[in-house]
Amino acid sequence: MSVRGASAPLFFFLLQVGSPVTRSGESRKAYLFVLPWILGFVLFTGGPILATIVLSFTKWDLIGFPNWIGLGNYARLFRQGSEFWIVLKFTAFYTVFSVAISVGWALFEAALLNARNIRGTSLFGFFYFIPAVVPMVALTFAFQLILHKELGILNYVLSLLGLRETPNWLVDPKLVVWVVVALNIYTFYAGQMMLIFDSALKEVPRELYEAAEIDGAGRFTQFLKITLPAISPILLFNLVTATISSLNTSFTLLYPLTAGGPGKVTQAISLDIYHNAFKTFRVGYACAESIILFGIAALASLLMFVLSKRWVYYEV
Amino acid sequence: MQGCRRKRYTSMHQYLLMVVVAVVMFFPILWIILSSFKPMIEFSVFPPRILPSRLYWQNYAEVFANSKLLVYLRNTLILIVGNTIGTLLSSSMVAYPLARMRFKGREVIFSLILMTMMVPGYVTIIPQYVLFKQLGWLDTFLPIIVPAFFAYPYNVFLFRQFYRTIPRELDEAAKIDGCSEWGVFLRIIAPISRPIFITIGTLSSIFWWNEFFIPMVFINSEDLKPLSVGIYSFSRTTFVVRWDLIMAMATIMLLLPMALFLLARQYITEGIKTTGFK
Repeated sequence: MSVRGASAPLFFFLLQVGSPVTRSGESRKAYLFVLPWILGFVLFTGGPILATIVLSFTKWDLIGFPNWIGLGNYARLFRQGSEFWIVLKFTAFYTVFSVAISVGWALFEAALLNARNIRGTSLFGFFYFIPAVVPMVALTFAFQLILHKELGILNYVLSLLGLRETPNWLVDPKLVVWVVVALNIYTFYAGQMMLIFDSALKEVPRELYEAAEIDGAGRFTQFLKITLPAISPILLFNLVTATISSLNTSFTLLYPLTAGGPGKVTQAISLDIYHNAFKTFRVGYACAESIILFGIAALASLLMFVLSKRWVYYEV
Repeated sequence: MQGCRRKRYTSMHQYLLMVVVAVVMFFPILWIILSSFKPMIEFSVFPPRILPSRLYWQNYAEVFANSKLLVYLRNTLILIVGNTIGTLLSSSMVAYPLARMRFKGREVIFSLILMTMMVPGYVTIIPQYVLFKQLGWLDTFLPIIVPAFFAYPYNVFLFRQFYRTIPRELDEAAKIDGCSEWGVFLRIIAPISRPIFITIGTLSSIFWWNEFFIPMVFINSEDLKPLSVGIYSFSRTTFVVRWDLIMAMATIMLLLPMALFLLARQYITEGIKTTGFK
């Protein structure tokens, strides 16, 4: 796994920051253990973030020497009629709805697997999780076949059900944005969330449901009043995970499937950074975009922390 | 009696729902496998056939003969082995003091590690590219493998989660017997932690089998591309899209992750579940 396949346990950590007690002499030994990470942080994460910030103030084509242009790239990004607005708008749409759909779907799957009086959940669990481990790029080829307008099996089934005008899933600009969002249920992080929800649901005490049943509460009320509050820390954790991961996996899903098209309607910021940095060599501009992305990721995680203080129930 | 019937009804309902979800999730995989046995002509018939007319194994013969599949496969395996060895060595080591030792700056380091997990990879890729260009490493495996030896945060986190479940008395006893920190790590903690080594080894293998973006950036030569990028570039080199061959290639790409998942399902699911808890 790399930095990118990541989730956000920082959240729990901040809730339980302990007091560091230092025993003299251990520190130096401890730092020897941690040394690889410190070097890696400087070389591959911290250093590059600083470098990205600096480069975002320059004009550079990777060959000559970067030219300092101040806020020029940012001005170009946000000027009126800039293509970046389209990219930003789609990225926001993609992130919000992939998170909503993948979190909802993962919770739904986990709830199904935790149904009482049901046997064979282990087999179902296998089918629910297996798309998460297979390569997304292979799946994108399957999606292209399945969703094909004339020859795809999905439209064939829809036509059997009586639909006359079958949709052009990957070409119709209004539809394709929803299709790519929905396909997030096949990603690794969706499977990961399903497993985490699954074990969270198993922790909810059975007696609560039994008591509610005696009081005459229906399934849905039970879910709202018992399940959701009980798993709310995990729900929040998964929301943070999903936000970061949907940004992170957008390239692998979108590039082979739509390559940002038709036109630019599915051009997420990840694709745009890749295109500008490595295809047209507008490196400074791409770095400015990266900084915006960094800001979005940081803001999104921060927002969740703040909201968590209000929403989440904790056992103290 | 009434209640009993109702229960049966809802559980039927539930089964149906579970089957529908299973079909939705598994269908793309099934479709890849079924399509890989169809001759090219059957990709342009309407209505689409679910089953191939007969098992057309020639797709596999052709994809092995006429594409760089074996080269891609070799490259992917190199990336997997390099990354997995690298991350197991470095992450297991970095996580040790975070879970078992008390030292100044521990909390700072740990929160930095968690924070870096939230940084999208696209933010750091350009300076990394520049760095590797300076080193002359572009279009080699080095930019993809070397960072693994510097501990990936997610794996450090998983190791730490596991180490924290090991009783402290074990280290204390060993230290009283004169064991150094390295001795405790190598002789006591690492051997006990076999399950998490298997978990991360498996997850890392699956991840690098699937990874698309990083090799897309650093690898240019056809002969160095891993499977993920290879299948993509293969799909774009033929004049007509050769769905028959692409699906055969895609089926081969399903094999390792599915096999690993079947063999190590418990390790994978338990490992992932620990990320959700303190």
